[in-house]
Amino acid sequence: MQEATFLILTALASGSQHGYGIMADVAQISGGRVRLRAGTLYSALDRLRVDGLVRVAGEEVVDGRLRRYYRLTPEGSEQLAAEAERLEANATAAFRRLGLGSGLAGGSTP
Amino acid sequence: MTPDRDALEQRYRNWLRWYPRWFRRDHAEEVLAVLLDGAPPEQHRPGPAECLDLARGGLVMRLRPRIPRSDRPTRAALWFMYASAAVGLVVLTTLLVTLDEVRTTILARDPGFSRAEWRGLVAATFRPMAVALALSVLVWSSLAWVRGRGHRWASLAVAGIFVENTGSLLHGLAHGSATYTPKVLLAGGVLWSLEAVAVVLLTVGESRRRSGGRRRRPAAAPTGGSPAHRPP
Repeated sequence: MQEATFLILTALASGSQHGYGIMADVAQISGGRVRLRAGTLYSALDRLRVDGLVRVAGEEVVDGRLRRYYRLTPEGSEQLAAEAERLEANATAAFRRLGLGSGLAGGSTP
Repeated sequence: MTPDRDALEQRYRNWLRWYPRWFRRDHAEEVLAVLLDGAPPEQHRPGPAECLDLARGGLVMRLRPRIPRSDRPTRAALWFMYASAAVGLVVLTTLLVTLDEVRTTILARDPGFSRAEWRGLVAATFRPMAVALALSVLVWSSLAWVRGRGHRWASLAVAGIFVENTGSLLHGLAHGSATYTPKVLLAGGVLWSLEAVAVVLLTVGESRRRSGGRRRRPAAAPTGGSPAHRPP
């Protein structure tokens, strides 16, 4: 799974969001490292909808502009959980080999 | 709204023309809202990175197959169809490039082979073959694209064309294609194999979809929101 896809699914994991909300959330989750643009976001959302991982949850008009909300499908939640587990396992293995125990958060930073 | 904001909106609308019509119909206003929400008040024209991103997104939307990742046989079939078109192009090029070699081979076997006879052979055999190959490249790449858009009738067309191609290949082999270079024959065999695999994969994808649909139908529950995939 590409990082942008992972971050979009993560942004939607806690509830439905509209496009701009997803972009802002992705920037926050990644600590400002990943800043999605509209073209990239909607290309990814379209693919995720085709794959059945995301669906439209509703829409509203705010200040005369259409806002469409997206949410994870059960399959999307499953895939996100599986990917998170895979990443966690990889990170744990990397920390172990670096002699950092369960991670930098454990206080064993050199 | 200020004139600057109006101008910015119009420019964004122009860049959204990179997207297919069905996408603009369903999402243009929504994407526009996101673009305008993200633009600082003083901005009155899209930045170069934004323009590139919109153009790239539009092209991706036009070219990327709209087949779910779970439908692996059909996605693989599309790959084989595009590969078949690519190999067809190589075969066509090889045919054109090796014409002199073919003539030399014929002359070595039959020194009395005249220029007029060669022209007749080109007109009767090689030219139709080149045209057929060019059409094949066009048809296979077009059908791959159409099937990738979700049009299932393209699978039937692919199967029909494959049967026709197989007949033509057998007919060609039985009627004088022995003058061909082994390389072209080999490429023809590869081409046929790619098409055969594509047809098999499309059939597998179709049968899985039917059996999956039959299994899922009784358990299907009504869901809210838009469908996950709206065919263009």
